[in-house]
Amino acid sequence: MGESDFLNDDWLEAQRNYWAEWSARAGQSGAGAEPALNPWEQALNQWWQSLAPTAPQMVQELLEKTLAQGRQLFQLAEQFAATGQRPEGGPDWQAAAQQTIGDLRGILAGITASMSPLPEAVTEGATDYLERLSALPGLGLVQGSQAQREVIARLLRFQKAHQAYELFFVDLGKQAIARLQDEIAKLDGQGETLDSARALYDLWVSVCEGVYAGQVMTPAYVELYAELINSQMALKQQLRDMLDESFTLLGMPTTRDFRAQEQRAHQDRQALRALQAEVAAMRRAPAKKRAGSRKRPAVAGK
Amino acid sequence: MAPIDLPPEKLIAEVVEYSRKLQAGAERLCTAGGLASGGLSSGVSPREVIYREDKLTLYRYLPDASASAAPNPVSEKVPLLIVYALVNRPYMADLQEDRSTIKGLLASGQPVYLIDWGYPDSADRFLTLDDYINGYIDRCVDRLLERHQVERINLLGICQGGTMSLCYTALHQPKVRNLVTMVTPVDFQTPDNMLSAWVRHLDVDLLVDVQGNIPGDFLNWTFLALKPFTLAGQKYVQLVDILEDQAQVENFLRMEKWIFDSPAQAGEAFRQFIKQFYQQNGLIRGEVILGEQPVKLNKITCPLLNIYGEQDHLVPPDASRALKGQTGSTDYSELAFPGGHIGIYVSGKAQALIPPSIGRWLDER
Repeated sequence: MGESDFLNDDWLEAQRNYWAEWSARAGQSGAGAEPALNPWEQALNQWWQSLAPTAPQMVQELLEKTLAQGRQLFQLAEQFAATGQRPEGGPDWQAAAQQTIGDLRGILAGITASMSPLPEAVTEGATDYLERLSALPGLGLVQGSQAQREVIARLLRFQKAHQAYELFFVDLGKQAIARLQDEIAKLDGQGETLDSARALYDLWVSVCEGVYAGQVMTPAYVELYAELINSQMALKQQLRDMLDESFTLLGMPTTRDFRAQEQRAHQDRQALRALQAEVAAMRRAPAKKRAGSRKRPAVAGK
Repeated sequence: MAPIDLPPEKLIAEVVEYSRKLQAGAERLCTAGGLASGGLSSGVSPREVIYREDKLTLYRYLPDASASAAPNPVSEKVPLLIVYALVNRPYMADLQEDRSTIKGLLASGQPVYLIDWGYPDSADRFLTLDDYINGYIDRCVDRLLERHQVERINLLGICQGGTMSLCYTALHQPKVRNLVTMVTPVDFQTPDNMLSAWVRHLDVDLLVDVQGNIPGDFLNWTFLALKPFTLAGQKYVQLVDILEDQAQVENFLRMEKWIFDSPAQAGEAFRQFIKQFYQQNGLIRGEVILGEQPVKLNKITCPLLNIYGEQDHLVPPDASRALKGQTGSTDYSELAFPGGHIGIYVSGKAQALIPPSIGRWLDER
């Protein structure tokens, strides 16, 4: 690692100072301003930035995920420990826990994003997005039409589904936090102690997975999930149809044209396979039978 | 919060250890599994191409010469054709030297063949399940019948490939001598089937009409979403635990590559699979139609071995066990594996149990 080595004495000293400051702040009532960024994160980020450009793509992705999980692991522990040191406790650990649910929301957003994603603006600001959409030369041709009203209706439907989906995860986070408190209380009753960040993180994962598994099998979630995908597809369909209409006016090939070509190619391929099978069957048939079958049409024609 | 003992000195020690392992492991990651020289292997057993058609490749796996007294290019035994799922890639069955279902089957003396479906593109958008089952699979079977000069072959279907193998056997029973299904869904609506619940209200017609082919990433994310905290989070913390072990890192990377190596799904075939199998539960109800032919499980009369994972989160055990009593076979056996959907191919106990059991079962028939 050489120059990129981050585990040097300076870093360790900074880390000690950070934890000392953090420990002092955590003991104070009302904690006050947020402490500076954890030197662990700072050092790791710097080290990673120096290594990342030279690492293969797969390693980059893998280590980024590992770093992200490491941050979650220690941030969660940090907030828990701080809560334990404050006389009145505090909600910070819950915020850190909720953050991990927020990250999960990002993971699940990958499902919709993988379906040839809609522009982010669709989920963030419908008005701006529609203004930009209307400004496109092609779409401008149908401005004010029934088609445009339809796209607005579908956009609103998708936004509603997206918001409901987001709310589901906020609620999931609250349920997971309540379950974690129950689990910790159980440990307390059994005289057991969580004595590492990792043990806390593993318990948190187990709790989240349990709550999640129960919630995503409910009829409410099943409908929510379907509506998210269905509304996204309905919107895309409308946008595509509007673009196709514009392409037609401009004399350009449309999605419908392309699909028709694909279908024609497929039908040709099936016809070719059928012919190949017929030829193969004829080759396998005894010569005598082949000769007989050749004569038959002539007889039938008389 | 009383039972949490996390003083700063403990946290800093843990942070330091995590960072140390990560730093040391980063270099190893860059060299592991041939990553530095351009990539990980996609299967380890030597094989040859027997037949190609469109994106499909039919492979013959070469017997281990050191284990065979007289290697024979075309074994006198009945060929065993593996039909893998359209989802993900088939090298899961041949992931590494010491974790290979295919190696195990070869070691048990079976002449092993496998259909690799390849990566469908827009030219395959209109491929139907009829094309896959009555077309591609049937032509591969015909190649093997001719090559081995036999009237029937053995069929081993994996996951969705098992479902397709059941359909194939029901429609072409005279060509199948024995059928083995692994982690194969039959009842698609068991109460614990998360995937089934999620697609229940999906407008799959709209989805396919808009998307055309279904992107592989959509399936990846969906599978990860079955256990998102574990599969997309905790797994990477656990990676840090093994970063100092080169062999384990390479295993992790191979698995990681496989998980994200997901072909797109041909649109029409996907539409049919979701509607007829998941939403209508047509296989077990005898309502699946392929081409113009109804698929009736009771048309299957050959010996049948049904293998399932007791902790399978993708295809719950009950979804597979539902096959019992549905076919016309008088020789039905089950093999329960104490593990999950992936462990059944790659775990150490699977290597010792699954391929030898299949080999013995086939040899007895």
